Amino acid sequence: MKKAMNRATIYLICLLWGLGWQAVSFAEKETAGNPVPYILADKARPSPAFDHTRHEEAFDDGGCARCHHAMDAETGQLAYIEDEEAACNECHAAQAADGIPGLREAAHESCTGCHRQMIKAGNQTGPTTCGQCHGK
Amino acid sequence: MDYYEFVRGPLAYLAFSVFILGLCFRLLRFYWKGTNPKMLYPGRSLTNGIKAVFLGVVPFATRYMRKRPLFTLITVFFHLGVLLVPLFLLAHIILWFESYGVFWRHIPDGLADVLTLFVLFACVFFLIRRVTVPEVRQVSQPSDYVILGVIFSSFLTGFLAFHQVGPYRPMLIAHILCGEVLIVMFPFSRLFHMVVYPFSRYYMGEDFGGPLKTRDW
Repeated sequence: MKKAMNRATIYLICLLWGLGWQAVSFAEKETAGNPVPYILADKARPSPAFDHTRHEEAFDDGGCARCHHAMDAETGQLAYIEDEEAACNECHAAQAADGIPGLREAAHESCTGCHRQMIKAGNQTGPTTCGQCHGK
Repeated sequence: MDYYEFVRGPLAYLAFSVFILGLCFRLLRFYWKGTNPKMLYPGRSLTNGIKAVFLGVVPFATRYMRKRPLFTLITVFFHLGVLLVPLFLLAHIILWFESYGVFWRHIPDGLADVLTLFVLFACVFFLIRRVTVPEVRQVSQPSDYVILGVIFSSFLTGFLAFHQVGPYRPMLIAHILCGEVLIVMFPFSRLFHMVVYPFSRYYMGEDFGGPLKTRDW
């Protein structure tokens, strides 16, 4: 009898836990004014806090060419064009298009790629893990 | 030494190599050790064998699942969680993309959250079950308990790292380490049942269906 009661209690707790999560998962979550059930919501990772001055100071020549590139009309290659430095998201949209990588791919490649190289070279550098850049 | 780069790079590579080699080794051993048993009542049933493989994963299809309804429900969602989250979480897919350039569709993060919490709860449930239910306790090996612990800690550290609760880098490194332990343990523990399951279920099915002419329950 006692064993049956203990089992029943555990079962009851399990059932309540399960039902509780059912309730939460269908609770609506506001995403950009479009409420979707929590269970379907994507967590948008916050934009990293980027310190431009710090990156400028890290390079002897300012290092503009390391990050800023644009399509050179004459050569058809990516090159650094002085006085035409743009922000990343001016060309790199959320999704890849026309051979231009999406913003996430480009940023990861550019930012964490460089940080990784510096780590390999044994230098002090910025973060490579997800949460260190996309800190909440 | 950058610990994150180490567990993310060389150690992960090593873990996956051990995983693949271990899988091959165990599969080969499985094949070599298999013998054609002397059957008292010869007779095989292909259809029943194949049926048994699929019925084993349909909830409430077998008699055992109907006798243990709560267990069945919990294990279905548990398996959903442990299969969907490691393979289809966006963060994991991004790591694969960074390493090998491959990308595939991902599940919403909210779903991953709910599944993770359910998996955590299910691990506790399974531990209680493994200790209290006699038919399970008597066939339990130490690695069964270890596996439960590793799965629990993988999902817990992953959840905490994702929501950035606690010190982030150590939590992430712990998560990656737990995952690598899981990957290395895979071929050498009960997790291997994922691979072996079709063979054993098929065999039981054809055996029951042939000479006994019943369904494998």
